[in-house]
Amino acid sequence: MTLLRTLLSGRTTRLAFVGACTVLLVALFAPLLSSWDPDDIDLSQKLQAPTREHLLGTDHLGRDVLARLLHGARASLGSVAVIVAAILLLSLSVGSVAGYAGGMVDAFLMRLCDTFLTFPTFILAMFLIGILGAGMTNVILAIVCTHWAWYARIIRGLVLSLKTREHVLAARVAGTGQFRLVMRHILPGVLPQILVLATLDIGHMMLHVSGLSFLGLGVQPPTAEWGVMINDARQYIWTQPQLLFYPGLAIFVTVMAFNLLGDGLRDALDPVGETGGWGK
Amino acid sequence: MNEDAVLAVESLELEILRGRSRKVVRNVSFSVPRGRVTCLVGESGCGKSLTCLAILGLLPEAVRRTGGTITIDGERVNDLSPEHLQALRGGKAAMILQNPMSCFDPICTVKSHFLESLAAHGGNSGRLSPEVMPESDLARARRSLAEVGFDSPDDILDAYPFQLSGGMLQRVMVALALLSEIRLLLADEPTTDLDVVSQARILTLLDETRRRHGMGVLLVTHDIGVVARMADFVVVMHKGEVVEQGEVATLFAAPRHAYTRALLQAHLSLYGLAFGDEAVGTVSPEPCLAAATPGPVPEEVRIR
Repeated sequence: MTLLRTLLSGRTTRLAFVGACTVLLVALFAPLLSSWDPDDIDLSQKLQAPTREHLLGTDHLGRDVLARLLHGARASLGSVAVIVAAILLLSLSVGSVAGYAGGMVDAFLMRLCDTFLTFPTFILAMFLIGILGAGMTNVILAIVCTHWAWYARIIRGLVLSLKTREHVLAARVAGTGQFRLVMRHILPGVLPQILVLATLDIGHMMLHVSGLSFLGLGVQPPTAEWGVMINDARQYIWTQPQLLFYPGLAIFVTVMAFNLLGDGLRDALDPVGETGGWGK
Repeated sequence: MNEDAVLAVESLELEILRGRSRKVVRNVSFSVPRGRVTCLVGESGCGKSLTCLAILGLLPEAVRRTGGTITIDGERVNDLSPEHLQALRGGKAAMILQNPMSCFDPICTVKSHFLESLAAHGGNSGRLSPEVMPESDLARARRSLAEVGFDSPDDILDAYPFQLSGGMLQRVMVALALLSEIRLLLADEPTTDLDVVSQARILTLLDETRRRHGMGVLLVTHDIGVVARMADFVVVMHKGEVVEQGEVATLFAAPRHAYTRALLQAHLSLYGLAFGDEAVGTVSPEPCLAAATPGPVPEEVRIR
């Protein structure tokens, strides 16, 4: 609770927290917030201006823009949640083992990381999609493949530093087993820093997902997703600019909220930081 | 090897592997008799702490034991499997480290530390959290804390390490070591980071504990005053080798090696005394002890 209080003490972070929570709630309760089916096509209603029925108007296929925007949050945030969870699971396992075991195991795992770090995200995504076909699963796979190694390297560094701390040596002296040592003394020191990094990266991942969907490599139409919505609307940029504006604004606000929240979390978890951490 | 020795180190050799490998500890042999205190002295960097870590099989990655044998209470550490070695640590032999403030996990309460030690050595705690520590384990923890002089063990158990002073944490570390019936206590400069009042208290505590439990103590220090007060035997290390060892009175009265003489001289000179002065005398550790030991701790400054 002290951490949450410190986190919410800054006005900007408080705003970011509210923004991020709003997007999360919208994603969770999207079907309850709009009575329209986001994929329901009605050509007789296409490209309508905002009305009482369609609060943000309709797109070129007569679908309700608000419903698609709300359901788009599910696709964007859902995919990012899967990506972050997969990256954390993979990198925590590899990074912890490499840092703790050291020697040949460390050398092998780090060369493996180096191999994955050589692939740019978009190139690997196109390569995977070329082989496996377009779709969200392959986009998630591509982003996880190109990002887990960064995290694994950082985690390895943190583990290397933590395992030489005196309290870890003291635990070994007391006869604590290796598994317990890692779970109770090393990982709790690694997790806060990695969570900050992951929060800062949520926006970055979201841009990747939306970018690849915009290029037609990610979520496939007619599924509602913010990148797909921008792609659908690009031919109406001069006549119906609001169709690009709404999903663009949603991406902007969400990415900004998570970035600012990550910044706030970093400051809050830094006990000696100048911005005032929980240790102060 | 002395038959009554709880620890015997024979021809220990340690090598640093990084860069050009070099021997940092060479041909070190000594023993710690049961119920007695052996002090390992020497300047910083002479290999005292590495020797201690080698005894418990906890050498850093970059250091390797290249020769010699270590025997603790009749068990050759060299032949033990990692599981047996883990059971030996905290079970038969415990170690008190130099800086008590950094030897405790800052995000765990003292009770968590006890729970962990008990889980490793026959307690009933297993995977439980500190909130549901079994009564039998809690009683052991309380008994151990009371033994090192805490009047209200429950308050200490609920405290986080940063809420306790260095001296209190050092006593908690001794209490953790006493959870099992240990035969050997390694104390690596246990008073270096403490003020003189806490130093005196910890040394008294170590001595009382040693008498009560009859364990052998290997006390690593570079403080000759501590040696004079505590030691039965002294092992002097210099540049990774044992240059002289013997009973404390003999060694203080007639140091044979130039380094031992220099060590005694350096210590006495801090107090304006000179080794070999008639005024000081050279027949007992008394001048060193008198020069360095603080007086009795006044009641009003005693800590809980």
